[in-house]
Amino acid sequence: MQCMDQWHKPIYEFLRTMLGNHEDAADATQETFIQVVRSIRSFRKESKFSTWLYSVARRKGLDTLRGRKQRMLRLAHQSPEQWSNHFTADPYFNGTEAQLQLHAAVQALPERQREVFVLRYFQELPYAEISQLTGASEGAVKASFFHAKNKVQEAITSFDTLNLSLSNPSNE
Amino acid sequence: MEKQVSPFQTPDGFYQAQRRAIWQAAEQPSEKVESPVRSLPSWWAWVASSAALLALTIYWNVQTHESNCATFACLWESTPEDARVPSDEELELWLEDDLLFESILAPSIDV
Repeated sequence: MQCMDQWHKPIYEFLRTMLGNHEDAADATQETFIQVVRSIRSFRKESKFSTWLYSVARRKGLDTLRGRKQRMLRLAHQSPEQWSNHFTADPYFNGTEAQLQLHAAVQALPERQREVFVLRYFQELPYAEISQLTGASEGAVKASFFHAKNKVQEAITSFDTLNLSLSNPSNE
Repeated sequence: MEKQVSPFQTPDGFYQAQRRAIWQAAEQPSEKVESPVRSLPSWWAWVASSAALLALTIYWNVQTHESNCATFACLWESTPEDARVPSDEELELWLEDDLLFESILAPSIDV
């Protein structure tokens, strides 16, 4: 199936940024494509295929977020600093320091803001499509993204401040 | 902010292995869990409800049968209107019921 070649990695990375770990993202990705393959005939072409595909992936992601494993993970990691430690220990995360801070800040966002930020910033979906996916108005989507972006920038600034103070100890 | 290069890695052969798993799972028919109630034929429901109704009727009749009565009130309820005329023995039993005697044979008179 051609769509799987094209969309497999983007859907995995979308779910990876939503869920914060490889195992959950892998399971949700597999379930997404199983459902897509099974129900491709019911796709009515009223929306773009990508919108339909992302809506299936989004539902699988939300289902996983409600599961016990994700709830325990998020209970144990609530601040950007805690998520930074999580990604540092993650064997499947191989980013720069800046990417580490960015993804840590994103994981610390509330669920709705994280979803909008991931779809807009990483997946580069237009606001209209995000609105269609999430069922929120375009205005609400823009507002969510605005607040999410501010929180992410704030978190990254505090990382930089922390790094600066650690690299310049006061002289006694 | 850096976003062009994804920081996420996957194990070797991850996507190929997952595609094989997806096709294998998609080819299998989706499991339908049949409700145990739905799996019974519909006429069974009628038989079961009729049996329940019959059991309830029998239970009700047994409870109010005259042989189970300990008071006149119960006896009165369980005896059909067109029942046979009571025997002397039965009549005497009823007359021993204080409540019956007071309410029927000695109406209250306000003085």
